[in-house]
Amino acid sequence: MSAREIHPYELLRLAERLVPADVGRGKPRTVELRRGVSTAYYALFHELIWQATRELVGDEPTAKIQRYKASRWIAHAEVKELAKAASGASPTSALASVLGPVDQRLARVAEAFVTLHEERERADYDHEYDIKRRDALLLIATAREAVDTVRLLRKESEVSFTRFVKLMVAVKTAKKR
Amino acid sequence: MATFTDGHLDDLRRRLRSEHIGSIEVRDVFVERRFDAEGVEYVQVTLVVSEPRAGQQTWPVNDAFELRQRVRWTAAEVGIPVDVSITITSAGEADTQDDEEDDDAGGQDPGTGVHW
Repeated sequence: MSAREIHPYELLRLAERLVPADVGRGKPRTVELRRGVSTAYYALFHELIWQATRELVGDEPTAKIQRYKASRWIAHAEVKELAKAASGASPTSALASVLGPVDQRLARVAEAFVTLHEERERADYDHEYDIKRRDALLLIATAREAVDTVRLLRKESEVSFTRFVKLMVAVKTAKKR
Repeated sequence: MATFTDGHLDDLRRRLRSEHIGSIEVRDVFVERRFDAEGVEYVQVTLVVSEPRAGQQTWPVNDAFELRQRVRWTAAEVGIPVDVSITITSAGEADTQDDEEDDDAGGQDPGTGVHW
């Protein structure tokens, strides 16, 4: 088997090709703006999944299949719930109480996730989504900054970030509390 | 379940209309009640803002982040108890180039002539 993994930075580069900052390459179509926004969201989603599954089952090459399987346990809406707690948008939730104090950089990643999730919903399903090139560029830049920040927090083993990615598989349980 | 009225939405709209963060000035605000795919109510806030600065293709990520935070805090202050979804856009051209033959979503694929 030689299947290629999903790489968050490849997704970001694809989004940037779909919505070029340089207009010299021609104006994009609206469908490209939609796909660019959606792809940028998926870059951040997959980055967080990668970090969560490496915490769960390890990042050794031999644990690859276990990581892939565990990655399917993580649902978009549940990560959004957790991100809302981390961003301060739902400070009284059960998730927020377990998460505890959050590093400001993580709060910013969380806000980016909530924003990109909402915009991706509109980009994928809302026929009335009136998106412009500069709007899409902002969202793609937001995703790139968030992915870079995730890598930095991971490198530092920042405590609230580690707790956040571990909690990504526990959202369903927390919502019942 | 906490409730809110159109008065809350008007209050939110009024308070956001004069926001100015970094290089971003809010020029107009649209606020509406919506329901997501699961039927859960939320409030969609669309901020029509000033164009990006000359030579810039979009707004600074940091300014946009702070503006979104300001919207969420303001929504909480005025007593809106549901999620707030925020879109930042401007009044200018979309800066896109769509194919006219694709205008009808139920039309033919211009490449193959196949209806879809």
